[in-house]
Formats: sequence, structure tokens, C-alpha cells
Amino acid sequence: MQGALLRIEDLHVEVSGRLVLNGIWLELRRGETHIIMGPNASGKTTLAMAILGHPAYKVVRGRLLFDGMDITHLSTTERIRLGISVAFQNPPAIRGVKLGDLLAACVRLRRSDEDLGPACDLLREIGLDPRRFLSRDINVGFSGGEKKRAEIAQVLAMRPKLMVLDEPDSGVDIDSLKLIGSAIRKAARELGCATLVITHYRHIVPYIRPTLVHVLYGGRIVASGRPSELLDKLEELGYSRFAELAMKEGWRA
Amino acid sequence: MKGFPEWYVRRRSVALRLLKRNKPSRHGPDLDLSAYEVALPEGARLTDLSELPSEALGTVQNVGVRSDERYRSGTYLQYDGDVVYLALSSRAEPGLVVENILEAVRRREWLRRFWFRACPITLDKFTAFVGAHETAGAFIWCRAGTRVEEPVQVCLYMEKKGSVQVPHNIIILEPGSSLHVITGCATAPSCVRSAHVACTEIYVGRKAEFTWTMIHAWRPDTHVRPRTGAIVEEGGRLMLNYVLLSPVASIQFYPTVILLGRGASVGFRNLILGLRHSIVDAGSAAVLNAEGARSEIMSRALVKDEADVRLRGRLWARKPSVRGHLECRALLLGEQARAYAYPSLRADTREAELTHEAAIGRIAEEELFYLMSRGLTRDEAVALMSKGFLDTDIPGLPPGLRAEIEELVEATVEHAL
Repeated sequence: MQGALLRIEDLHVEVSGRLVLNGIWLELRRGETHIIMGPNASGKTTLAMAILGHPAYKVVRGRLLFDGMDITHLSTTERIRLGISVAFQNPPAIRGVKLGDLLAACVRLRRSDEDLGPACDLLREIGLDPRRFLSRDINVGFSGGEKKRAEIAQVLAMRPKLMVLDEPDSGVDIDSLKLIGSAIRKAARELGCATLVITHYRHIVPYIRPTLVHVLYGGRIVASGRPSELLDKLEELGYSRFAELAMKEGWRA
Repeated sequence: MKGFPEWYVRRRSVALRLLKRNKPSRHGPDLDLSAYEVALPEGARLTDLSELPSEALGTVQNVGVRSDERYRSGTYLQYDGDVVYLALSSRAEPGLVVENILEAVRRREWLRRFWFRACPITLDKFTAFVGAHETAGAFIWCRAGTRVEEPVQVCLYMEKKGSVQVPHNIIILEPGSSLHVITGCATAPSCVRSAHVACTEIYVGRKAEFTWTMIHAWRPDTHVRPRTGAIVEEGGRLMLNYVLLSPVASIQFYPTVILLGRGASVGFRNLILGLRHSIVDAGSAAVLNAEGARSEIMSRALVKDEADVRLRGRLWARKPSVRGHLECRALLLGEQARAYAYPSLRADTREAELTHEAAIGRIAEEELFYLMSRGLTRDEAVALMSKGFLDTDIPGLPPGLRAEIEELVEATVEHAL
């Protein structure tokens, strides 16, 4: 369909032989921000990894279109060059590899030089002092909030067309939540990119002001709608009751 | 032995007798020294390092030797058996002495007290071989209170086919002095089937500070057996950095440092690139023989191709209130690569704190994928993790020298991968 930056059609994904995503349909346009909410083990991270092309997440049916192009069989490197960028939920800690090395790699994607100036501004904005953090081993000894912030700074430094943020809000305090949420919203506006935020909770929603919220349950999107339409109901019923009713009554927007 | 003092002539004959016992090294593959011809002095001299043949110049620069001698207090360059160049910079502090050891023993009777003391001549056939056949070596002497700013560079270069180079180095730091020495050892690309057997003795006086950084780049058919011993007096600090950059037939060493005075300390950093068919047996040992002594041993090996790398470490606590930590890590990059870690701790007192960590592993796929998600290719990600693993951040080096070494290691890792 014209205008969609990311279009996911009937996506079925297997992880170590187990079917985790069971027919996902999703469409995201430039400038839009969508939120995917779902309980543990509903397939949220699998969706992020399938978009990024992680080799352990096998697409067994359906396809992914990016900017009208079928990317289902492209490598991660090719997807990144096209403008896809993912912030990890649990990024690994790697001794000897500095946050500065990774930011330089992110910057190199879109520029020929390695001027880290703008990346340092991003770090500062998100509350990580570049003087302290650039030379630190990536995620080694970082607090939960520092990891999330470092992930977001890297994703933004890549100046992506599509950013997927896998639980940018888990394990962070209220102040960080506000800072992270506002930074995402501001960057999305400035970059004009499409944004997919994956989360457990609704707390980050007011800071991000998404276009649409999708509820992922049992490997399927069971409901989509404006935050005002879905969130209260979800809070009242809980995920499993909500999903049950949604499937029965067909709440897909 | 014309012109040598009697004590020296006697010691050489003792060494010859010891050599006949053919006592093997405790570690590493054996080596038949009779298969090599000792590289003897032939009287060659250079007036300037730029007179080196261009092949030699390129090779020694790759092990940290600066041919322009900028940012160096002095230079000792041994070409096969000859000390072809020996000079102090005009900026060098007056208390610094750099000489050919065989010249030094003729003039300085007192050197007999330092002769095979930090490194026992009875250790194995290699120490005996040096005692019997040494042809040269660097004698570096830093007088009391002399703080030498810029490093002294020592270069041992081999070119003669089928030869063995036999240097004996003695480094003495008197109380309160400080010094950095960078030693680059290399073989010419044409130097087939050669060996390097060396002995280095280090004496660090009260509150003196010495950093020795050694960078090796050999040919894939060179056998190398350096022997190193050190004694550190009260409050003295010693830092031994070792970097192996090239494939080698075999190399085995186990420098042993005795911390003899209160509060003396030693740090070891070994960065090893195990490439092709290299056999590397790299040990480090510290004897904590005085109260408050400290030691840290850190070995990192990147093992590729069919290389076989063994990392050994030993900390021996003999007095109370000593502390030591030992770390051996190897990263395997090839299916045929082999790595072994042998950490060993011994405490003869209750109030000692000794710890160790050893780990051998491969690069985790999840970590690689993560780096690739930031736009790096697989090869770039492996190179970045390998460089990070080797961790060239060597403490105690002046910033200029640190940057030089980092650059050398990074360029080699990139090239090797």
C-alpha cells in the first residue's frame, strides 16, 4: 500500500522450532509512532528481532516490506543501511568495546566523517555525560536506566527512517521515563521517522503521544486503536481477559 | 677472552660446564641449540639509524623503534651479534648510562654482583647458554634519583640465516630513579631458521620505578627463549609489558620477579596474538617476599588459525599483608586454535590475599549481532571485539608511548584478522 514505510503481512516467526509470531499484520507510515503493548512472552521482542533480521528468528510465512521493498530475506546489515534501527531490551555488556566506538559506527552509517559532536549532544540530552560515558565499556556496570539511554542515543545517532525501541522504559525510574519518553518524541519529530515502541506498561504513553496502540497477545495483534480507546479498557481487564474479549468481538481498528 | 676480568672469564667457563648438563626448560617444547650458529660480533657500526637497510628499518619500526630517535632518551641497536648503534640523546638526563654489556663488564668490577643474580644461571640450558655464549646486550644504569623522562629504546634485530642471537641485558635502577625502556625484537624477512636466546636481569632499587615494554615480531620459523628475572626493593615499582605481534615457531618465557622490600610491587601485562602455527608458552611469576608487596598479572591472548597458546601465572605469598591478582584470558578465533590457562597461587601465610580468574572462550554470537545492529559488518565487529579484548590500555606508560603501542597493536590486529 502506498505511503506505508513498514508493512508487515501475515508474519509467522519461529524461534528454536517454536512458533512465536502467529500472523502479524501491521502498517506504519513516516512520522507515525505506534506502540505495541503485550504481556511477557507475547512475542514483542521476537517482532523487533524479526524486523531487524536476527538469524535465529526465522520467518516461516508472510513478509516484511520496507519502503515498498520486500526485505524478508535481507541481512541485518542491509536492513540497517536501508534505515532500520533497533534499541535492544537487554543489550549485552561487552568488555573492551567502548560506547564511543559504537556511536562512531552509528554516525558513520550516514556520514563520511566521524564527527562525534552531534552524538555527544544526543548523549547529553538523554542525560549521559559524554566525558564519562564515551570511554566506558558498553553496558559494563551500567544501571538499567543508563543502558536504556545508551541504546536510544545509539539508535538516534544512526538517523534511522524506522526506529524500533524494545522496552525503552523497563526498569527505569519516573524521572528517566519522562526524559526517555520526551527524547523519543522529540527525535521522532526531528527525524520525521516512523517509530515503533514496544512496552509492557502504559506509563510511557503520555510522553510519547502515539498515533496508535496495538495489543500483542499470543503472537497476534488482538486489538489496535487510539490510546484513549484502548488503554483504560486494558488496565481494567488485564491482558488475558482483554485479549479474550477482543478476539471474540473483533476490536481491530 | 682478552681484556675481560678474571671473574668474568671464570663465570663463562662455569656456564659452559652447566650447558653440558643440557637441563631442559620446565615448559615449552625443547630446542636443540647445537643446530644454530652463534651470531658473533663482526665489527659493523652505523653512525645514524637511517643508514639501516630499508628492509631492516621497516621491520624495526614495526616493533616500536623510532629511527628518528625523537622522544627517546637513548638507543641501543643490536644487529645479529653486533651492537651497531649506541647513543644517548642530547636531552638525556646525566644520570643515565647505556652501554654494551660486554664493554661494561670490562670497566665496572661491581657488575659481578649483578651477574646472574636476578636470573639464576642454573635455571635451565638457556640461561647457561647465555652465560657461555653471550655476545652483547644492553647495560642500562639509572643512577640514584635520576628520573628519565623519555624512554630508552633497545632493538634486537636478526638477519643471519641459521643463527642464534644471544644477548644478556642488565638494567639497574638505583633508589628513587625512574625509567621506561621499550625493547623491540624482530627478524628480517630473509632470516630463515633462526633462534633468539636472551637473558634480562632487572634490579629496581628503593622507591625506583621501572617500566619495560617488550614488542616481538618474529618469522614463523624462529624459536625464542627469553629468560627474565627481577628483584624489587622497598617501595619499588616494576611494570612488565609484553606484546607478541607475529607468528613464531615457538616462544617460551616465564619472567620471575622477587618483591624483596616492603611495599614493592610488580604488574605484568601480556598481550599475545597467537597466529598460524605458533606455539606460545607465556608465564609470569611474582614472589611476594615482603610485607605490603603487591602484584597483578594480566594475560590476554587472541588465538587464531592453528596456534597453541598456554598462559601461566604464579603468585607466591611468603609474608603477611600481601595482595595479588592473576588473570588469564584467551579468545579463540579459529576452529583449530588451542588455548590453555594455568593459574597458580600459593600462600605461606594466613594474611595473604591472592585471587585469580581464568577464562577461555569464543566471541559470543549475540554480542556480534549486537555490534552488527549498529552498522558494523561481521569482520569489523570481530576486529573491534578482538582489539577490545586485548585491551591495550597499559597503565604506567607515558601517554606518547602508550599511543605508539596502541597504534602498533591495532594495526597488527586489523592486518591479522
